[in-house]
Amino acid sequence: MLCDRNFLDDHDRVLVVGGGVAGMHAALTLAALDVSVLLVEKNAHLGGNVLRLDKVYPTDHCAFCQTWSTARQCYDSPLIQVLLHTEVLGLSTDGEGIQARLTMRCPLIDPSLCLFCGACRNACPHGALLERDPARTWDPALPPVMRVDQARCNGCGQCAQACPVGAINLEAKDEELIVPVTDVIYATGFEEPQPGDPRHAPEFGTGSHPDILTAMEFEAWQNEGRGLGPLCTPSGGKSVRKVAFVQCAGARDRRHLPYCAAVCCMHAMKQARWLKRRQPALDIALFYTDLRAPGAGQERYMRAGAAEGLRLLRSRPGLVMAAEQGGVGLRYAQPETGRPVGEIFDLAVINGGLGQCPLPSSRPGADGTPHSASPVGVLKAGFCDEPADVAGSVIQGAARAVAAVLRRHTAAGGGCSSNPQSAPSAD
Amino acid sequence: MTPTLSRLKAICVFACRWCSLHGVERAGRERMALPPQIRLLPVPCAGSISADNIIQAFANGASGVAVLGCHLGGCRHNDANRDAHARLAVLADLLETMGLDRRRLCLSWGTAHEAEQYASLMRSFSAQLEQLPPLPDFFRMPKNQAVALTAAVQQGLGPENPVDDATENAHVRALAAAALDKGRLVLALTPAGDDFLPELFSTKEDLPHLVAGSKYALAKLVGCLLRERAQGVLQEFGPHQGLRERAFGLRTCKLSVACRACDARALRQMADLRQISLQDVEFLPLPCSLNQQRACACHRPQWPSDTSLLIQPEKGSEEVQKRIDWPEQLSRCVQCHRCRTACPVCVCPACSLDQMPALSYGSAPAASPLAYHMTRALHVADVCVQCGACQDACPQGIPLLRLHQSVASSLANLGYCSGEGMASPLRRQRLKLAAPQWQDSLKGGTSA
Amino acid sequence: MKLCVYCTCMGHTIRTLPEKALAAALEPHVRLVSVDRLCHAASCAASLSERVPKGQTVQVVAAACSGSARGGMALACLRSALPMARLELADIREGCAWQANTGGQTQPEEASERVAQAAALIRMAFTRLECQEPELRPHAPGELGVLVVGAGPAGLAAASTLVGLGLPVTLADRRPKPGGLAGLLGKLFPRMEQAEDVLASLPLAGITLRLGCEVISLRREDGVYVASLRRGKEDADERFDALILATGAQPVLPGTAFGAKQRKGIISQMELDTLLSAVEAGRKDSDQLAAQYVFVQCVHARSADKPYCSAICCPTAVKNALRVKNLRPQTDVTVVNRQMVMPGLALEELYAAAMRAGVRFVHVERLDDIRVQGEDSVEAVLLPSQEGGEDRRLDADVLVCSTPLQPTAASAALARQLGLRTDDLGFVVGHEPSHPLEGDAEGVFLCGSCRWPASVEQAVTQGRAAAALAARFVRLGRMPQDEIPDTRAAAHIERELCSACGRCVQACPHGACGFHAEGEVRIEAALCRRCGVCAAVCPCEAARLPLASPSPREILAAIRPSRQRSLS
Repeated sequence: MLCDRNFLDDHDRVLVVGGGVAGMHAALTLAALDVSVLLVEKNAHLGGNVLRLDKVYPTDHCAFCQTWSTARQCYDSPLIQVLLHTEVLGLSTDGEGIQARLTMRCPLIDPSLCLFCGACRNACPHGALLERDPARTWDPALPPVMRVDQARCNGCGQCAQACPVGAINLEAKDEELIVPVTDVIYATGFEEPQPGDPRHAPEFGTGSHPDILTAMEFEAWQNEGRGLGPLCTPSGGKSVRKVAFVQCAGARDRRHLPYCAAVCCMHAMKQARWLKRRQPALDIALFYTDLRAPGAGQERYMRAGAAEGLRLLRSRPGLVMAAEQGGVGLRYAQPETGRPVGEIFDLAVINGGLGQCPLPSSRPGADGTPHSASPVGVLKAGFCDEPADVAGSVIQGAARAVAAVLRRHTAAGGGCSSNPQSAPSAD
Repeated sequence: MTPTLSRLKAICVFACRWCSLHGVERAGRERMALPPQIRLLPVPCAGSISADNIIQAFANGASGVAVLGCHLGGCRHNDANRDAHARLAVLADLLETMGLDRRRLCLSWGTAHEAEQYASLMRSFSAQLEQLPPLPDFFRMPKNQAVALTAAVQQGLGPENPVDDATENAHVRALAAAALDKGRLVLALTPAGDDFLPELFSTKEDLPHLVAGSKYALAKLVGCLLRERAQGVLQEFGPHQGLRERAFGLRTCKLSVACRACDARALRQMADLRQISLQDVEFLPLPCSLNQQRACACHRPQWPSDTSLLIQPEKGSEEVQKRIDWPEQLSRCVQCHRCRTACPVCVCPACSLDQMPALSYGSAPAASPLAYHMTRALHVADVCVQCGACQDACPQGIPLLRLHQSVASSLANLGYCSGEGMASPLRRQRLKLAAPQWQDSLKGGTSA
Repeated sequence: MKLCVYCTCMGHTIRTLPEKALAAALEPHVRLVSVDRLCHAASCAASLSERVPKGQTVQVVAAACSGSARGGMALACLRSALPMARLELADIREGCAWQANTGGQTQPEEASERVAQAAALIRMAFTRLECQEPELRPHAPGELGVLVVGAGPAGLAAASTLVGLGLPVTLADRRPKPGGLAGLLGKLFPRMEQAEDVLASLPLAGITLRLGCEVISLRREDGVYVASLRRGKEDADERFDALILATGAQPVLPGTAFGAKQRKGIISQMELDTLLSAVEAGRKDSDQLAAQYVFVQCVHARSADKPYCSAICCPTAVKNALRVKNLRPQTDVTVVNRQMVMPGLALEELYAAAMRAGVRFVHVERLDDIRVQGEDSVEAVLLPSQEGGEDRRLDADVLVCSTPLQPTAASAALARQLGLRTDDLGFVVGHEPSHPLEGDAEGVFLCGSCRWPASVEQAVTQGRAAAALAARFVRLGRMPQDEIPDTRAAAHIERELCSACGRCVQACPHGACGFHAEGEVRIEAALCRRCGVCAAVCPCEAARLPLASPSPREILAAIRPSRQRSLS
């Protein structure tokens, strides 16, 4: 259930950090085994990155209904307390349990009170109250709570007066909480490194031009423009004829991300196939290093994509940038000859730079080895442990949850004969 | 919204709860303006919407019906929505045939994202319904009017010029003789006054009494006979009691049936529906003369074969379809349900149409013949073999075969033809995993 | 008694839907009670307790906001205020009032239409109440326990986890020794532990072992699973609440690839693994290793007849290349590949370590063009060049074929008995991607290589997860993927109405409808996913799923304006 800052009851509970699929499945598994859970999510809704996807490979089913029904189970379960807008600052241990230090961005409108009636919106002279999230969040997943657009609000307080239930408090501040927990499961997932992050590879031009999109930006753009006629570039509304998908951008690269993010080949293939379905005449090129499709049904999905007329090029473009004559220029070595060539596209989708979300103890300043310093009972699940797709994250979430339960049983001396590995390490 | 609003009655919106319902809920949540006639009916899957539901809605006076499902190919229930799509397409054709504009049925396959699309679709759908002429009180039919009309209206559609051609008789007698030599029983027609009756022939002495005769729907009789023997229970009532009693008493019943193509199709379809086994049955094919074909208005005089024979709609048949004013024709229906009794592929132990609960319920009009015949046509849509038994049985001479032919031609558009052992497009076996085949019908809703 | 509790949402819905007009649009015997805030327990209870007569059975419709807003809370508050009532929600806020033109004043025509719409929504909710089933009795947790089929790493992990969770577990395997394919391996990628150490960390204590015992058949009877187990010549039936399939896969053998029958020196990765384990254990000398190894990837994989990537062969090859280099650094190892499939952090690290150790990786576009030189034994491998020039020659003493895992016929057969889907290769299919370990039948879970080739590490993870899901199922009696807010009963057939025509059997998207002996059609509740397709295709209403599609009454209520006594 969704709870506010006054949730603190004194249960023994497991802290699950991150409300993506891995975290939600970990929480649901724990709840099904009668363990209280505190599920902490930094965003305004559960569902994580998967909710931002339109379709999921290899079945091409909607991501939304499946993920959303999982989220709803989390909201509905009496054993799961969901704290939104909350992040973990760090963990400390006194040998017995773990103290988790949380910071909670207190929303200006209390979700437990708001009726979503719109009285505040009608009262606001600046149009600062919205039903939607002012940021580009995936709306259907948000709890029905009014939101304040900070950019427009001048704090006049008329909304607070108009609110029939007193849900608005414009003076609300961030709060820090310290919560005792028995175990911690990190399921913080992935993020796309932004410019300035050392994991971000600047040569691929993401963030420099509106027509160069990261995979998740492209997903959002594709979702927005769905079903609304011919595709136009995000920059100037020029119609799109050629699209490039660039794989392993910044990944498998010692300078940025030294690993393969495991999901991007299929993800790009999915996006490319969807584009192709929408506009069969599009010229779509996909630049890859190794086209990895090791999962169930994935090889076939790839082959179908190739058969649909996608250009698959085994080459790693070295430079992606806005071209002078318009469009996005790519420089790459021709796969057959190895000669460097340039090609202009209308749109480039840069894929592969999926970084694991940093865990609190490995934030800058810490020694960078999260596990040696962590107390027993800290587990990782999903992408933040090892790059994983939806299915992998679901499996890991449940597996780590059960490991936590077994650890509690052994710790309590309850009839558990096995000796489960407490913390499957990720290194 | 517009002053003409009052003309529009309810618009029933059936929405799949997995996907479309999210979009619908989001549209409401974002306070998008929507027509007030909308009545939302959530369903577990678009595949669970039957044509009955929609006919019920129209029969109760709905101005329009919209069906919202997941994207074709994105169904959570292994593509069940594709079958629904096929079923509803057939229904849309039937609505058109019946004189109800097909634009009153709106099919749309979308996802949870598409709140805006949903809202604009609903607005344009209701605007479109506004444009259509007001819905006639289509399904309401005063009983007395139906009774007042007589059976006299034949319009030359009934059997004419019964053929008693000597060559045809010789042909069928030769076939029958060969079958008798093999120790089989022959079921064929024998003259009875001006008409013909089916008879069992077991000896060659009786052969002079055997004739080809004009068309006589034998499939139901043969089907009953086979089923009763297989089950070992003779039904108390039914057509041709004496003949069935005799056949029931026989030790073996290796039957050779002298029949026409339509009867053979019907029997094969019955076997497909697992009602009978054709193991001991052979057909003595009677070709239909041109006169006979005309008399039946038959589209499928060919004998069933292994190669799939798709229906070639007769030239000009569409105009014929158009010319039939079904509400007028069906107003003569006295609801004796003989069409159903005679139908060889109506195999249900108890027909749901006997009750028509939706139509006789509460304040709704009493069971209307139009709804009855539409529902029945769709119940047997992909099993009807257009044998014309219903039409022959109708005391009012309603050209029911035409109705079934029009449904069959909608199915022919889907590449299906009944009685040929083909898999029906309305209920495909889906347990094999196929590569996902996407069909993106995002560009607004498709009017069926 | 029929009661409609109308939530005015602090006066917001009432502007579009005046209480009086709404009451007039409803049937006279429906009492309309308005409250300010139905989702607020205290205010709701206070205003209702005065107005509702005690001790009467009432049907209550909450006319409030949508279930995705606070409708659920409104129902919960009503339930606490009126514990005996049967409740249903009618969404008249998002579903009606808010859909009015937001631009300005509502026009009178529209206002009356909106009231009619709200009244229809409320009437529809009452019809749903009328055909609602009686409350389902709560699920009693099973006590028969779980059967784990297959004692490989996945099965062992599942069984030992279930023991830890306190459930009775039976572990069956055809072979007399647990361990499965992993029992044949030495070191494991990516962490290079010994396979036996990993297996030893999955203790057998507390598990009812049925080793050397074949599972002949699995079937569902009376809501539980019955397994026929054969040990020697004896068959025995045992009953279980849930099943975990961990039947694994089998390696494809190189067979006649590259002329392996005539030439010596063509082996599989498994054979190389055995040799390396022996050398590592000191049972053999490192001189037994050849001087030049060429590994060829994707032998019999990603081909026309096996169009899939088995995922574990590239890491296995890299692992073995590293082991060779560790034991005998002067050995040349070349890995010929179409692409190296080394996804993720740990595998990329392993790949990099192999390159650092001097393993060569050579890319080719097609495997068909690779030729092998040598009469009786392998001498060299010839790779076609890209630009039509000279072939590239790799000297080799031993050619190691990396072959995929393929599904076993036995696991596909078991899956089919249970009504699970298998893909055309024979792997058992779960609900990819969001519920990958859940089979199509209730209470059946999948883990390990029977669903897709998995490393030992993945198999153990999947085994643990499957155990958690099975425990959850035994406890709650429903599959996580269902997450049905209303736990409806499965579809069923009214036998006296059924003609056994088979329409539902063909149409059921989940294979739950089937013919039984005597030609009767039945619906297997464990396979039914409550989609209602059977009811939609049945012409005589023999197949039924209560509450699936709207009842005729609900359709009628949706359309016809209310009339006196039309609903009584």
